[in-house]
Amino acid sequence: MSELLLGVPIEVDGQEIIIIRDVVGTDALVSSSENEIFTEVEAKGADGRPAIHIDENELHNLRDSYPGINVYGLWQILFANDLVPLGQSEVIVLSSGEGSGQYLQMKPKSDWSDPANILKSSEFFDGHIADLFQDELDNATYLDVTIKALRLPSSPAFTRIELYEKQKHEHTKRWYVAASVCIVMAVAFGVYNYAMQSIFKINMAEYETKKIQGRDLEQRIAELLKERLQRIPDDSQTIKKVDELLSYEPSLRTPTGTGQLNGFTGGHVFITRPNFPVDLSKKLTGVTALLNSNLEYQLSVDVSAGQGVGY
Amino acid sequence: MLIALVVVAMGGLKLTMTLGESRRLPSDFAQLDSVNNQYQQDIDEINKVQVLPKLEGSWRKAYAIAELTGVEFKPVDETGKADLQHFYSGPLRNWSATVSGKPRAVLSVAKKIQSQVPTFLYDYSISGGIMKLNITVVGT
Repeated sequence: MSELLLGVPIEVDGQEIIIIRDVVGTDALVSSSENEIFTEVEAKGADGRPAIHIDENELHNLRDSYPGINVYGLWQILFANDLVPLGQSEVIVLSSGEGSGQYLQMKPKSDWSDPANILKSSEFFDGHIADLFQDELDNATYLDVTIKALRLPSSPAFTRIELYEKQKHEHTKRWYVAASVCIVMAVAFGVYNYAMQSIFKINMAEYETKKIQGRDLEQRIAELLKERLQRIPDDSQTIKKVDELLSYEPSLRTPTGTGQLNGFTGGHVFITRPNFPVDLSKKLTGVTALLNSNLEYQLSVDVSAGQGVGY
Repeated sequence: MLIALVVVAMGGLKLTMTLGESRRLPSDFAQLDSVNNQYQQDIDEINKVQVLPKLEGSWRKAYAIAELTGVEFKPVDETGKADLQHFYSGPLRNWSATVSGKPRAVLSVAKKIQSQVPTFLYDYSISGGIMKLNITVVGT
């Protein structure tokens, strides 16, 4: 006989709870009376075990009688503690007294070790089960459950309203979490941008200071250059070369055509008199000569580096 | 809920990127130090150069050199500068002149003036045995 008392507070796993009759499998729901409303306490298991339901009216009554005490389904606890040995027989019985108890029935002629083949759960009184033959009951597996060894499932039973309130609460909680994350993100973006803006302002202030400093230095250079020349003009080498040309050909003249302007910042081009007998480019270095149709030599003087400084 | 998170995240990123664009430093930000250092070096170099003599004194000297050599020394005023293709346009005080005479004498005068007073030589022409040379004497 089981130590589990149904419908009254008992202590399991260090916690005061109430265990009530629950039903496994949809067949049990079909055979229930019309005024019963069933609420799911355990969804269909990953191994194929059907969902487990409890009578919500019974749960309401327990809430009124024992407020604040968690309620669990019987088979819910047994399955959670792996105390239902499938595969041994068609019927598994948890006896609650002489000739009474709860039972779990597998589909006839099926694989009894497969939880998906659980047909239904129900209860019996006076040693009689309407849907079963006596030999099936005789061959049933009887469970021996001790309270001390039990552990509580992850979630107790809730009425639909409680589930709704719980879901609503969790939904609200999720919104709070989302809102908190949003606020944290917004603050993080704000702090990051504030920091970047501050660094930018510091850099721009530094930039402006350096720009002003640069302008001051430029102005200082301009002021200094109003009194100083970094390089004193010296065209002595060019003058010497032109003078040498003139010593050979005193009648030297400069071209008069448009765009032909001699100057110390430009070029030095001269024309000899017609029939001048000497090619001066052969006499003087840095001079090139070109004989034209009037038999005049057009002489060009290469300007040495550093000559012809202008401003 | 997820949409709200995505909207805040995307909005934050968009705002950060937009602000990031407006936070771009000027392109010459990294070069300013080296530019200013170069300016300072230039100042140090220019400071080593002596201050030029007064323009009036240099002008008198140039004029005297030309006179002594018998070369004409004709000042060019601001109106006359308009006819010149090249002339001095720097920051120093300056007066310009046209030196004219026999080519070798003009060249000799130009060389002597330039060796004694800071003078820029510009355009010249030689025609009919006469050379005309534009010069600019600079000073303070």
